[in-house]
Amino acid sequence: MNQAKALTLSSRQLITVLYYALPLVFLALALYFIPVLYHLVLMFLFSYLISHLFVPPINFLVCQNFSRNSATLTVFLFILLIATALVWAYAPATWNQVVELQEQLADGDLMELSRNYAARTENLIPFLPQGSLTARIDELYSWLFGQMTGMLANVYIVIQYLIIVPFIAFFLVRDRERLRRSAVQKIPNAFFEMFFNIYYKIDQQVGEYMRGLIIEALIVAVLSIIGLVALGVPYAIVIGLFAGLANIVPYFGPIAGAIPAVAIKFLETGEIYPTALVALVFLIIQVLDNLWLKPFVFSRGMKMHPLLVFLVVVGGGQLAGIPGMILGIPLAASFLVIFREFYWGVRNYSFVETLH
Amino acid sequence: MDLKKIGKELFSGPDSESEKQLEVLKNCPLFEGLPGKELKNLQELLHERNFDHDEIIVNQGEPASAMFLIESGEVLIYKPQPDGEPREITRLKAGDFFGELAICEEHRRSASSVALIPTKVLVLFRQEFLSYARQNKEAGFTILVNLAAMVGTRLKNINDRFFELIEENKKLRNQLEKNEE
Repeated sequence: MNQAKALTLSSRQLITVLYYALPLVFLALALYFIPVLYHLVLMFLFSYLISHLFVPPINFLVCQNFSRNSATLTVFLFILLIATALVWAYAPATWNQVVELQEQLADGDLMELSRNYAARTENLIPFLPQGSLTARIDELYSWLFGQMTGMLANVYIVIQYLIIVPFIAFFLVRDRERLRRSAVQKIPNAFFEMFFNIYYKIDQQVGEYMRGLIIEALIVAVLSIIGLVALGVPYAIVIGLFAGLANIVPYFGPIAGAIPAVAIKFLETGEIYPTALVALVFLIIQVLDNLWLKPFVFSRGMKMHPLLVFLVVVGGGQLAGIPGMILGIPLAASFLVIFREFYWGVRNYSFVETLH
Repeated sequence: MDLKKIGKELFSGPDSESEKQLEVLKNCPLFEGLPGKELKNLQELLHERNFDHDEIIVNQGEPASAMFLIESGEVLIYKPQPDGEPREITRLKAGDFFGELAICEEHRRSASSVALIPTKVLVLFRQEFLSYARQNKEAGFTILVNLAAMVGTRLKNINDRFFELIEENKKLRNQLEKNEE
């Protein structure tokens, strides 16, 4: 009788150990395979970030008597419809601009012009070794050309992301409440209130950050396009969209966003004044962004020190390139929430009394 | 390949509705006057927790972020005393609820609670409730009016009891003065 009881107890213990150990084993395996499954992990993280953009319209539809499933489906179909219409209307023009820009870079006219300028500058500044600037220009062009060719070659990967990311995001949005509930359910009674607070705060912060970021990118893109069209800069749509997208990456993004427009204007006109005007437009957009848009995006979202944001962006860039720069901030902010809430919880909840 | 089944899984998801949970919500005075659809929406926010016999549910003084509805079992609400023996406040059964003030304000638990027998509770977190109430203004208004009415009744009872105690105190004092004379 006693033996049977002992056996039952040990099997229960085994199950308890497995219950907590299995997720850790899976986590260890996942971490081990991250380098192999790099794109899958990135796709999942992007899906998680993007899924937050769909929450407000879906919640709105749920309030209008839609079921969560039909609301999710409606919002996704609506966005798919709009995206298809936009691609139908603008993709050929945008693609032509990219190809034209690439051809022009390869053409040599622009290269010749910038070489002339480099040679003239070398003559003006006596201590510059002859040929040093022109060599630099050659390097820059071969790099730019490589980047453009690489970008065209990457279209396949981009299309993969464009299909898979919304697919994962659909399920993350549709099962949002259920996922949250099942995550909280796995936590022992003593910790579940604290765990819920951590989960909810991360979700809120990431959601607010993402929604703010997309609004910011859209406004920067629209302002850039308007400014570039007004100044007669060629490829205004591509450069404007790129500036909006680049703006998502803090600190480095705005500079990277302005470089193509300034370079193209300079190479096109060969004069300082119109080039400076283009730079001024980007400067004004950045001032507006930093004074008006950024506080709106960051005030309610991530509570991170600017220096920490900077370090995270640099670190993220070193670890995983541009995706690392974009994902770094929400990930770092999530870790901060975990630390803050955990230590606050340890001070405020009396776990020991409730533990058995 | 069962397309119907795949379609159901893709677009409707597994059925998570529990009639029992809905019944608890329906019978809870806090949610009185809510239409069935709203009760189902609210049900989506509930977290089910199981507590063993003698397991503490909340501790006095801890941050309160959720209210608890008892689906089954029995819960003792008590005040821990510094000198030892805790003072019992009340015993709650299936269908009762506690910690309801947590759904509208951040405060610390004013009492502790423990499961007297194996107990299943449904937990409603403040953040989730407030975000629900912001989106479903009418339902949120109904729940908060119910809560206000409940708190009002409780306050009135406490007032009545307070004046009763003052009267008793007066009588005892008069009696004491008479005895002294």
